[in-house]
Amino acid sequence: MDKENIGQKFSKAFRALGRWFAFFGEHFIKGDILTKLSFCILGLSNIIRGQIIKGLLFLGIEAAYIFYMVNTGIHSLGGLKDLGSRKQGMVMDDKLGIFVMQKGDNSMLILLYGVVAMSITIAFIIFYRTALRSALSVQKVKERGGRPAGFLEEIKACFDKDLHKTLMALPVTGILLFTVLPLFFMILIAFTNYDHDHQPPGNLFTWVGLLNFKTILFSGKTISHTFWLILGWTFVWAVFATGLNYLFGILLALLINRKETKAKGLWRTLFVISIAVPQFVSLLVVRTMLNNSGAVNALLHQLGLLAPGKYLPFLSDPTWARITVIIVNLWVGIPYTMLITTGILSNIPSDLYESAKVDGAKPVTIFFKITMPYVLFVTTPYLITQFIGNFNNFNVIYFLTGGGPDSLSYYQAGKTDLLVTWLYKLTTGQMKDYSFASTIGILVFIISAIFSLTTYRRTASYNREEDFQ
Amino acid sequence: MKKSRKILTLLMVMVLVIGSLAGCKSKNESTGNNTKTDNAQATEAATDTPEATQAAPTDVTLKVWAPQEEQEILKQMCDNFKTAHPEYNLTFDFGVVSEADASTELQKDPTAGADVFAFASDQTSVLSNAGILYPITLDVDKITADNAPASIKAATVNGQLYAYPFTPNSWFMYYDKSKYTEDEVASLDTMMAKDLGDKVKNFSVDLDNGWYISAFFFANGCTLFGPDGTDPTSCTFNDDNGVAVADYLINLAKSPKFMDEADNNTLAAFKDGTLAAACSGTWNADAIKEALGDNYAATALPKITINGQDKQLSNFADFKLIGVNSQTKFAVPAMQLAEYLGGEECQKLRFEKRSIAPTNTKLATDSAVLANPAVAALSLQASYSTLQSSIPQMGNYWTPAQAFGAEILNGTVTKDNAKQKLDDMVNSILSSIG
Repeated sequence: MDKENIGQKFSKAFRALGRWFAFFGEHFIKGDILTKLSFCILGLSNIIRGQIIKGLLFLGIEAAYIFYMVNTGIHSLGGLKDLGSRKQGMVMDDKLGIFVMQKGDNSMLILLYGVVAMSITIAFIIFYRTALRSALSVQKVKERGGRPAGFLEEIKACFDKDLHKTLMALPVTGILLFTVLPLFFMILIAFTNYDHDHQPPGNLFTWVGLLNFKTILFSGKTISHTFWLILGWTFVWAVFATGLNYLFGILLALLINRKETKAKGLWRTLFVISIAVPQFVSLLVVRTMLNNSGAVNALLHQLGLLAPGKYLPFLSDPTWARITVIIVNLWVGIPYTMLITTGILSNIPSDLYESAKVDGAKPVTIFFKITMPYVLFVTTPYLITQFIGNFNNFNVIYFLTGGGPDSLSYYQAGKTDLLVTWLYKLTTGQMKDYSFASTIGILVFIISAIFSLTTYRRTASYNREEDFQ
Repeated sequence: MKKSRKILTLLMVMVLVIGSLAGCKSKNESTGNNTKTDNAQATEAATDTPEATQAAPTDVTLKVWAPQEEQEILKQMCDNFKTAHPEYNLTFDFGVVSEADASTELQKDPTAGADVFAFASDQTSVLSNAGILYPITLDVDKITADNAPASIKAATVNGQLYAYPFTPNSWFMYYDKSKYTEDEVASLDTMMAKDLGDKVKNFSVDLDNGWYISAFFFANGCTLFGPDGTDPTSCTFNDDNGVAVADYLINLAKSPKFMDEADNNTLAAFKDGTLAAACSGTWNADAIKEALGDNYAATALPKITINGQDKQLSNFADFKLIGVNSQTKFAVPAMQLAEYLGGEECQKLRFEKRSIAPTNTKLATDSAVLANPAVAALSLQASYSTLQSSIPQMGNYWTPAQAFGAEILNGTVTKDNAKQKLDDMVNSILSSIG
């Protein structure tokens, strides 16, 4: 693993990009007349030099792209400038006695088609470069006096020498179409004012630059106040949920792994059963149990521990609710850590322990000097993943409290809402503030990415791979 | 060995490729068409509304949304409409979308939404603001005359009717006849004072819900968005009357005889006899009737005593409405169908089949309707209701009101800070993003 700093990484990336585009120039210089002409008439070099089918395919795709652009593409790209300008209107038609709708621009669709046109264009540029490279390579083969590969041979190569490309084609296309493209579209929404006041088709929305980020981070309005407080709670939650699960999981694994413990398999099975029940089921059950008039409070009444009419506000008091979600989350998370660390614990060389015992070390010392470093070394990446997972832990919060109890000082959020569940409320609740939700999503990504990269690069697992071998 | 493995891999890839191509193909085609039609429509104003009267029947396809429980009679009603209108060659496309979800579904993609749909009136402002509701101009006078004035108001934004009302959608009180007499349920304070034993809760309402908590404020003369609900800069929940209401609510929430409704816990409590009265709507009528058996009774909301005066609880007058999608290709037939579905004939059918209360004034006084306790209670309560505002600002009301209720329940709001908390709530209601 080479250790270069961020600046070097960037300059390297830019150089690579430069090289990628420089190809077009080099190509034009190296190519003969046919290859030069291929710049306009894609596949010409291939057709004339004997790769007829391949050349025609290139030409066909170029024609299709030009047809698309002339037909709709240019119009779609132009729409990205201001996302529409004509509002939908209703005009009274006296003959029919009803209003007739004058269709306006739908900003959301304009944005969507613009993104599609952009993606098609980028895909075409990449394809264009490939086709030109093929034109040049055919020319070189001819110059060497060879015979360019026929279409059938190339197809065969796809299933032999180039099998990796064939196998990767489908997943890559899928990811681009169904993940990257929608993601790009939604990221763009963060830079518009697509909120509850600008809902299509009746209203237009337009670009506002970084205004949403400013509003959420520094405006001092309720929404920014809410963001910082929820961010704080999200961190507290992530630290506690991750740390406690991890610690208790290790202790449980140690307890089961002790020499004196009988029926180890039975204990493990018992704890793994809690994984076997789907998470949301246990969470919903606990939610009803911890209601103000739920089973737990009823039990306390029955036992006479609580006066009639009193109840413990497990989920309805802000502080109680925050502690409750952390504790209930232990139930869901500990078994996983236990399973993972059980494997690691049985891997620790026993001679380490024996020599420690000979030297007269106490169990506590042994735990902190031998067990913990070993386990930590192996599981730090897992710990980071867990932390980010908890940072965005939608399930536990949504099913257990729904973000509640709601607070008057928050904008559309409650006291146990994480950024992720707040984002969810902003898009599915009464207000439909898509632009703010998208902004929060981007901020969450930035925070998670920075955190996980910096911590990961500082871990022993990353820096001292050769140890413990 | 190696060869056979390669062949296997290839086979699998082939299957995947072909499968995905088939999938992509239909997808691409549809999006391609969309772009085309959309651009075509963007460049020319759509003025091709079919004439209402034509010699040859015109082909009309209408997409209709209704909740699951209504599907059966919906088909029946649509068939009746079909026979009544020979001038159209009608095809229906039914979808299952509840009144509560219709607004959300329509906002996702109005062009893919239903032409005619049922929705709850608290969404009127949101939908008309987003330009999704078609303004109603056919037979307006007749509809206005036929239905209760409040229901027409709920479907009107800025003087323009946007939907056809068909049922009140509000809440009242169910109670256990064996625990309260008819006189006692007239006053909440009398009910709370009655000793029904340790285990029994006297009264339940969903306090951390803006829809229910508003009734207490309206009872004491507070207003939301001005007296007629059109002023987005006014909300008097934090005046002296509002503070008195907050005090009343704090006492109510603290009382060991009060139970907050959450996750439908009232049904179980009714069943095992540990609850004497609860607030809900006609949607729960059958379940509560089953739970209470012979002791089942329903009535209007009780009065509350504030500063020695009796004040009648006043709920939001909400309704369920039938709207027409502004993006419809067949405006006139869609409007006629919506009018029929919200008309007297269909309201009667809904009442007979599903115990849905009518808004039609003639039906509401019908003896058969009055014999149904829940529907009668709803009609009785209707006269005490406060109209729910239909300005866009109304969308801001729910979350702060819900939060205020939650803070009353968990004791964050005390008698000392009630004024401050009410100010916070009002500020959130009146501001847009803080």
